[in-house]
Amino acid sequence: MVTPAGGPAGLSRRRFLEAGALTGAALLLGACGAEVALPSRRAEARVLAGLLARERAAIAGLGAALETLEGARAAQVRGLLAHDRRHAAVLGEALRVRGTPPSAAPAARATGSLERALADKEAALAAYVQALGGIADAPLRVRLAETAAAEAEHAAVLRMLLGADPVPGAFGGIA
Amino acid sequence: MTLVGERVLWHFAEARTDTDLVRASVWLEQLAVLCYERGAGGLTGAERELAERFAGHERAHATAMETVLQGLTVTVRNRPVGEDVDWHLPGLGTGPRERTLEQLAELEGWMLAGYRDMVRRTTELAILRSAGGVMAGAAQHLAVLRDALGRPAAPSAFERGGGLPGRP
Repeated sequence: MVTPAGGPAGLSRRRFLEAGALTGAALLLGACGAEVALPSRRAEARVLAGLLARERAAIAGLGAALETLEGARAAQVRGLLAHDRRHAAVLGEALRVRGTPPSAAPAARATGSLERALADKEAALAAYVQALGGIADAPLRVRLAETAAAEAEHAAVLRMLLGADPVPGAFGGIA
Repeated sequence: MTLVGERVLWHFAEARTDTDLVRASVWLEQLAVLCYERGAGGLTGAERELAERFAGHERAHATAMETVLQGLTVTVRNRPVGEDVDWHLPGLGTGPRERTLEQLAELEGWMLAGYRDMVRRTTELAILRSAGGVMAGAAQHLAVLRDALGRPAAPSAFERGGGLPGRP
């Protein structure tokens, strides 16, 4: 259904709210091409909390990898880390707007490598793409798509730093 | 907005339904195949191989979006031809390698901007998931093309697409 203004066109408020309880079933139906019920803000908050956990893991992984790098390679990873902190801030704010303050960030792991950071990054990318169907708020959905695209670029940069093929597949390395 | 941007985004702007949006993306992905094939002719060595490989990726994107279209029980109406490459990326493959890479990067950037619009306008799960995967691939193409041009591969925390900085 195209919603030019980005809103839940054609849905009553009650049906829109009820949609949250139906999200799981709706996702399954959506995969079969059936009409999709839009997720509630509570359901959106669950999606966002999952993304924030992924983003924090990516931050911890990059931070640990940074300690093993110097010079231009370190500067590149520092740039990615700054991006990821902005992603986490957006997710945290979106959670607060939905009445679910983000939990405290876990401690960063003690050791790291670019390989591990890439694995975290690929997991985050897949999670962002998966999440697009779980967000009814159009501006937030666009923000997550922009973040997914940035995460895909990060994965390409990390692969370049590792001397690997930066674009191993047509879909960003998502299985 | 650049001429390329206007001509690429027109396809998405004209769309009024989910079906139209997906049709636009299939057509543009097919156009991207032709553009990379044309662009490869203006490149040499590893960059030529890269363009040929990216053409294959664009073909996979077109197939993925065409599968979504079939899920909406409609089919592709028409396919782009060589003249459409001339219209969207005039002179592609005939200039120096930097110009060819810039044009291909610009195409990727504006297609990303178009998908961004698609993600804003649709709530259809199958479209969103496929568009997300295609955007990931396009963003990685863009990162590699920027790197080949000596520009930062991942310059922004939020990739919105559009033209290359520094070009009007």
